[in-house]
Amino acid sequence: MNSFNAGWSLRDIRFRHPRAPQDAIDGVTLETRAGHITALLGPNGAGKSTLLQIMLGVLSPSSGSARFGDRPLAAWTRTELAREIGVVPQGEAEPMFTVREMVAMGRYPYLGRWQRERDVDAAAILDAMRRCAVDTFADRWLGTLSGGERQRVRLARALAQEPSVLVLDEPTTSLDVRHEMNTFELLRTLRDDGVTVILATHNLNLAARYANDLVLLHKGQIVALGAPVTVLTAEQISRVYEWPVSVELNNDGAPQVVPLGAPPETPPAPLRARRSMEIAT
Amino acid sequence: MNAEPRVAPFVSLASVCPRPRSQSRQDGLFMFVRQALRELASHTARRTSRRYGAVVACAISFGIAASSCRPRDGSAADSASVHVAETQPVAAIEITDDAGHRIRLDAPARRVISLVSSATETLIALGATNQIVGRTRYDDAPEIAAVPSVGGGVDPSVEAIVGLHPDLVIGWSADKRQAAREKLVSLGVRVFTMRTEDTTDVFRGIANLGRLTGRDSAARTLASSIRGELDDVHRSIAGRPAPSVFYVVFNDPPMTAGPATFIAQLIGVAGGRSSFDDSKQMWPNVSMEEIVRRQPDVLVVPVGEFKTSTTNYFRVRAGWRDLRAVRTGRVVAVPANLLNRPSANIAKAARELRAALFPEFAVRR
Amino acid sequence: MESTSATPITLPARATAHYAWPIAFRLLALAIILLIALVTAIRLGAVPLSTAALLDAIAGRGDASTVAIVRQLRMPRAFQAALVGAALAVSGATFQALLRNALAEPYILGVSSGAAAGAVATVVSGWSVRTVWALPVAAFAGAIGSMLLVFRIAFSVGRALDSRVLLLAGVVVSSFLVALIWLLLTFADTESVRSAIFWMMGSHAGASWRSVSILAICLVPSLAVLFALARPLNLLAIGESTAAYLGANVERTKLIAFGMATLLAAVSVAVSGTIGFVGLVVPHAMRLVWGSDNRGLLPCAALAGGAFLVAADTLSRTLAGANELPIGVVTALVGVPCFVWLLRRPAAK
Repeated sequence: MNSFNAGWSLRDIRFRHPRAPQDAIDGVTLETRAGHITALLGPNGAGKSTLLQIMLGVLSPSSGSARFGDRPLAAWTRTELAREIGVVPQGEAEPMFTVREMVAMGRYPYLGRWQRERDVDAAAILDAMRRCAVDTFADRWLGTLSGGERQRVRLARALAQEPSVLVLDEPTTSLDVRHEMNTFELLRTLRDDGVTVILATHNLNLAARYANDLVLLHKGQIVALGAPVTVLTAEQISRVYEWPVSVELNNDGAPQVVPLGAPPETPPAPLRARRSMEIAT
Repeated sequence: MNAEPRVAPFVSLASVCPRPRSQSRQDGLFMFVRQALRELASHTARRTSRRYGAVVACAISFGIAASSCRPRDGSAADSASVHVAETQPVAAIEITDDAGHRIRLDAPARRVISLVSSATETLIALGATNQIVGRTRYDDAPEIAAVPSVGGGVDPSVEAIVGLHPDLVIGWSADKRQAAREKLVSLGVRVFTMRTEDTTDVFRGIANLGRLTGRDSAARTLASSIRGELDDVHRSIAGRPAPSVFYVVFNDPPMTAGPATFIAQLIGVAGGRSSFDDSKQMWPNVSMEEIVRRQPDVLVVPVGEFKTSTTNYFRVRAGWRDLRAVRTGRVVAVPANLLNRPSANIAKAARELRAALFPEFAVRR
Repeated sequence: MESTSATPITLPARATAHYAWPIAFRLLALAIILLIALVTAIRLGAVPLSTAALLDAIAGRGDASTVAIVRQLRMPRAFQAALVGAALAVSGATFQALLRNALAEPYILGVSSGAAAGAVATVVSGWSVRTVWALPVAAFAGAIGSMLLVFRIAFSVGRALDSRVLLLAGVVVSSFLVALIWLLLTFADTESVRSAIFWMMGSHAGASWRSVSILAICLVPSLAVLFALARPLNLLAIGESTAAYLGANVERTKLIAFGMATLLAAVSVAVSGTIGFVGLVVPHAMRLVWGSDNRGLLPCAALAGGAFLVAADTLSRTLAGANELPIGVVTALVGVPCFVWLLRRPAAK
C-alpha cells in the first residue's frame, strides 16, 4: 500500500452505453476520501455498477475528467491500477481452482510472465487468507465451498493485491445475515488499517452503520452525498426508490430505513438534482 | 492350391525367420512348426478363419515372397515358381494406366493385389489366381477366399499391402482422394489405376491385365470369346422391338445407369433401351415423377446387395406401384454381384439382361 | 457484469488438493504414458512383426518392406497422431477458458465445418485428384475463413469478442456451412460423396515425415505461446472484468489466444480430418484430476491428448485386422466409457 492520496476525483462525468437512448451517467462529480468507507447507493439501473466501472478504468467516460491518486485515470496502466485497487466484482465464473490458487491470482500484477511466486507473495497470500478466515481450507476446491465462503475467498484475492483501495460491487447481495455482518465487520477492520473502501450495495441500513460517506445515485446523477444522516432521509429515499419509507435513528445514531406499506396514489414529486457537490463534513 | 502346401513350407520358413540363410532342411522343419504356432497365435486374434489352411497359406505367401524377392540358391526357387504360371520371355513391360501414369515392370507381375473387385474377377478369369496375393474384404469369390484381405478397396490398409510385398497394385480411378495411391507410390509400390465405367474399359482392362501378368494370349482369347458371346446375344434378339428399361441402381432416391455406363451398354446389347438414355451423368438421381412420365416397359432390379432391393418392394411402395411396368408384372430380378462389376463376366450379365427383357431366353441357374 | 452460467459441470474429485502432485511429476508421468503409447503404436499393426525385426527396421536393417512399414508408415503416423492429439487438447482447453464454457471444444467456432467445406469442395470439383496438396490447403483455408467469418459477425454485433456472441455466431456459421456441404454432396457423384465422408471421419493414414514436420513447425510454436499465456488464461477463465481488474491485458490475450487455438485446430483438421471428442474431453479429464490451473493443465492436456490419440489410432488400425476403423469413431467409443469412469469417482464432501 502506498501512502499517497488513494482516492478518486471525478468531475462532470458523462457516459452513454453504445446504442443506448440516454446517458447512463449524467454529470457526476465526486471526490472520495482516502481511508474512509464510501457506499454507493441507488435503485437498480441508477448507474452504480457503471460508475464503478468508470472509476476502475474499464469504461471511458464520454466527457468529464477522472483522476485517481496523483494522475488522470487514463494515465494509469492496468498493472499499476491492479497494484493499488483490489476489486471484488459481482458474478464470476468458477473454474476448478483451489482456494489458495484463487487467492494467489491476486499477486498477478506483481509477477512477471515466467516468474515464480516469491516469499513476499506467499506472505501476502497467507495474510489475505487469514484476514478473511479462509486459510483453514486453503486446499479445498472452490466448488465445495458455500456462497459465503466463496465470497470471502474473492475478498482475500483482492486483499492479496495489497491494495490501497478496495472496491466491492454488491458484495453481500446473496449472503445470509451472519456472512453479511462478517463482511461489513471485515470492511471496518480494513478501514481502520488504512484501506480505502468503496462499495456499491443495496443494504441501506448496514451502509448507514458502517460507511463514512454515502453517495445516492438516481438515473445517472448524484442526488445526495455526505454523512448517512444527511443522505438517508425519508423524503429522499422514498422519492429515489419509489417506495414510502420512514427513517429512525438507532442507538448509535445511524439512520435506519424502514419500508412502509403500499405507496400512496399520488405520483412522486419531480426530482431536484444537484449538479455539483462538495462533501459536507 | 491344395497340392502346393507340401512343397512350399520347407522353402519358405527359413527365409521368413531373420536368420542367416545357411539353414539346413531339418532346422527348416523345426522353424516351420514354431512359425506356424506363432502365426496361429497372432492370427486368431484377427482372422475369423482358424483353419490350418489359412496358416499355411500365409506361409506360402511368405515363401513366394522369399523366393521372388531375394536371390536364392538351390532348386527350391525353381520349384516354387513352377506353380506360378505360364512362362513368358522376360521383357520389360511399359503401360500407361487409365489415369495417365506410365507404369514400368521389369517382368510380368507375380504378386498382384487388386483393390478393384472387377479387376480381381478378370484376373481369375485370366487364370492368374495364383498371382493374386491380396484382396479387398468385398471380394468373396471362392477361388481367392484364402487370400488375405487388405481392407476396403478405397481405404485399404497400406501397411497390410506393403507387408505382402506386391509387384503391382490395381487401384480405382474413381477415387477422388487417391490417398491410398499416393501413399503406396511414395513407398515405391507400383499402382496401376483402372477405370471401370463402360464396356470399352472392360476390354482395355482385360488386355492391360493380361499384359501386366504375362498372360497376353489368355487375354486375347478371353476378349474374343466375350466379344463372340456378346455378338451372339445381340444377334439372337435382332429385329425385335426394343423395350424401354429402367435399371434400378438404387431405389430411394431413385438412381439409374446413365448411357455411358457399361450397364446401359449391356442393356443395348441385350436388345433393350434405357429409358434415361438422354442423361448426361453416369449414375443420375432421377425423380419419381420423371420415371412415371417415361413409363418404362421393364423394371430391372439387381437383388442380393441391398436388403431393400426386392421385387416386392416395388409392388407396394407409392410411386413405383403405379408404374405400368409394375402393374403388368414386368419387374425382373437379376443377380446384383453379376451386374455390379464390369469384368470378364459381362457376357453372363448380358445374357441375364436378355432373359430379363425377353423371358423366352431364361437363363438356367 | 459477468454471468455465472459458465460454472464447469464437472465435479471435483476430491475435497482437498493436499496430495496433488507437483507439476513436474505430472508432466513426467504423462510423458511416460505418451512414450509407452508411441512405442506400442510402432510395435503393433496390420502386419505382425517381432520385436527383433522391429528394432532392425528402426535402425534401417533388414527387409526393405519391413523397414518401409516401420519407418514410413508406422512412425510418422504415430508422431502425427501425437501432435494432433496434443494440438486438439490444448486448443480445447484454451477455448474452454476463453469462452468460459465447459462445452467449448476446438471446433466450436466453425473450424471443423469450414475445413470440411473446403475439403468437400476440392473433392467434388476433382481438384484433389490433380493436385496432391489441394485438399489439406483448402481444408486449412476453409477453417481459417470460417473463423474469420465468425469473428466478423461477432464484431458487427458491437461487443467485440463477447463470448456469448462468439458462441452463437459459431453455431450459426457451422450450421450454414454444414448445409452447404450437404448441398455440394447432393449434386456430386457417388465416389465424391464417399471420399468426402471418409475424409470427414478423420484418419491419420496419409501421415508422412513431411506432413509431420509441417505439423511440428505449425504446432509447436503455437503450443509454446499458449503455455506462456497460462496465467492470463486463468484470469480470463474467471471473467473478463476480473482479469482486467487484476492487471491482465484482456484484449491482447484474447486475440493471441483465439488466434493460436484456432490455428492449432485448423492445422489439425486440415491434416487429419475432423476428430471429435479429444479436444472436449481430455481437458476435462485433466481438470477432474488436477484442477483448472492452466499452468499445469495446458502441458498436461497436450501430453494426455497426444497419448490418447496415439492409442486410439493404434486401436483403429489393429482392432479389425486389415480394416481400419475411422479414428473419430474409436475416440468416442473408447473415450466415453473412460470419461464416465472418471466422472463417477467419489465426489467431494
